[in-house]
Amino acid sequence: MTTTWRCFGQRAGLVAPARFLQIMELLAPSALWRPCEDLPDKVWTVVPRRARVMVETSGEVLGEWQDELEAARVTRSSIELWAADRSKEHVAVHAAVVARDDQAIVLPGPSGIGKSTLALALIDSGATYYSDEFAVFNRRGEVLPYPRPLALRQAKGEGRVEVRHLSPSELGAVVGQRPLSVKVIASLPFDPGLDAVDVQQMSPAMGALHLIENSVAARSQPEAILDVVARVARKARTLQGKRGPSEEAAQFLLRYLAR
Amino acid sequence: MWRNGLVALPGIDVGARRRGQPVSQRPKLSSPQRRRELLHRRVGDRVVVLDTETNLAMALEPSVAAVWTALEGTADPEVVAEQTGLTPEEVEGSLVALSAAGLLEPLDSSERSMISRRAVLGVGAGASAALISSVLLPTPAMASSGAGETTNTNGPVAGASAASGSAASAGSLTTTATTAGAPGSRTSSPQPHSSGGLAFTGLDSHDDIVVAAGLIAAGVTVVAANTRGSAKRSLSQGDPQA
Repeated sequence: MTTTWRCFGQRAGLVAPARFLQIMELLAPSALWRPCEDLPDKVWTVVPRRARVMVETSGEVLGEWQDELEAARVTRSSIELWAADRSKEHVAVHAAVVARDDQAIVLPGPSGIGKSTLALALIDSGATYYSDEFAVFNRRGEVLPYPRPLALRQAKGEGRVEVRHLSPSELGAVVGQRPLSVKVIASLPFDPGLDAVDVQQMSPAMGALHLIENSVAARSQPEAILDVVARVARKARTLQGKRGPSEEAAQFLLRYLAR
Repeated sequence: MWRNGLVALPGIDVGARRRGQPVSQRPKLSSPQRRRELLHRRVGDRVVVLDTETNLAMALEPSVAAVWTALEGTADPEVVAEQTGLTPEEVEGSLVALSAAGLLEPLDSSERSMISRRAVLGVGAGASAALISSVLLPTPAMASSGAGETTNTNGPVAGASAASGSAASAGSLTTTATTAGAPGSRTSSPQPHSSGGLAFTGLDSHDDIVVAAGLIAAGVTVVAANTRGSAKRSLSQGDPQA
């Protein structure tokens, strides 16, 4: 079966067994992924192989998995990155996003610094969930809901990390519904040696750097990225530092947001 | 370090002003010009610049941003000083920082030498504050978690690397908070690049380290990195390496 998805305004085709397409439908976040009737610009193909599935696109094999769900996650990420890199409508920044009182907090940063854990603590403290993977901005600089399941990593020893994917409903999270202005950009990597938050307010320009540093299309569309992140950063307050326990950092951020 | 005229190098008299020589008679950049292809936007009282040749994004501190803005209409440092209200030394320090960061048109060899030496001497750099902070423009794979979560018990097999979604497969983005710069200043230079005539490819050679020291003195914080992007050591003012 073939489905074309419109993701970040780009058309991605997926040739896959019906069951795999159903999994993709469940994984596809919100209104930024929509099935459409158009011809795709690029096609991903899922090939069942004995007890595994292989995923390929444009002659490149993404991998081979025993677990269809994991294969679907990788396929979704591959499509997301391709689409975000080409999008004329949206700017995707690797970040977690929550909101309170219609004001968004964006937590940009690379993997493994504790964005998801902090987002979860913020949700537990009453924040609205927007995203765990990408802060998706429109051209006006507003952040849109992109509620992929939270991916929570847990060390399992011997260098192994287990990743749990928790949907917003499993978390009991309220999911944001509309575009919001960003009020706080916070880079707060987890530091196990801290028992509090060690942070300082930075200039808006440093906020822009934090967003650029994590923008999917920074190299392919630098001018568009610069326009949007500058717009976002001018209106936001930027925090930079490190944090200890996520609960305390969440309380700190929410108090800071309310100032 | 700035030594208030106690250090003199051939062709550069860093103590001239203190001895009463007019600034206009001191050796200076002949006509500093911004590189035309750079993208830049004002953000508050600073300017963010994107250099798509080196894949760096930079934030200019207010004095450097003021000089940068003034260079749009003039290439005369004295006019820049008048327009910005900065002292000639501050303008000069900003020009050194801009040039060292590769944001000005290429200099001839004598000017490049002057910049390197002034940068090493810290002329005009002022205290330890970083004048320019920079980060690397990421590739798409760098700017994502990747969905493969390669350590999952039932993760990809047959050599799968979670493909384009894996940050781990892309070379890690190096961002380091430095102790030398202004609070929060940071720089990553994980890839070899040429920067306005000052090239460094991984800080393996003595010359690279000298240039890096000059950049630091000029207010550009530097993180040493190998060509695959993993930081080897951080250099900053106060660091024995610098």
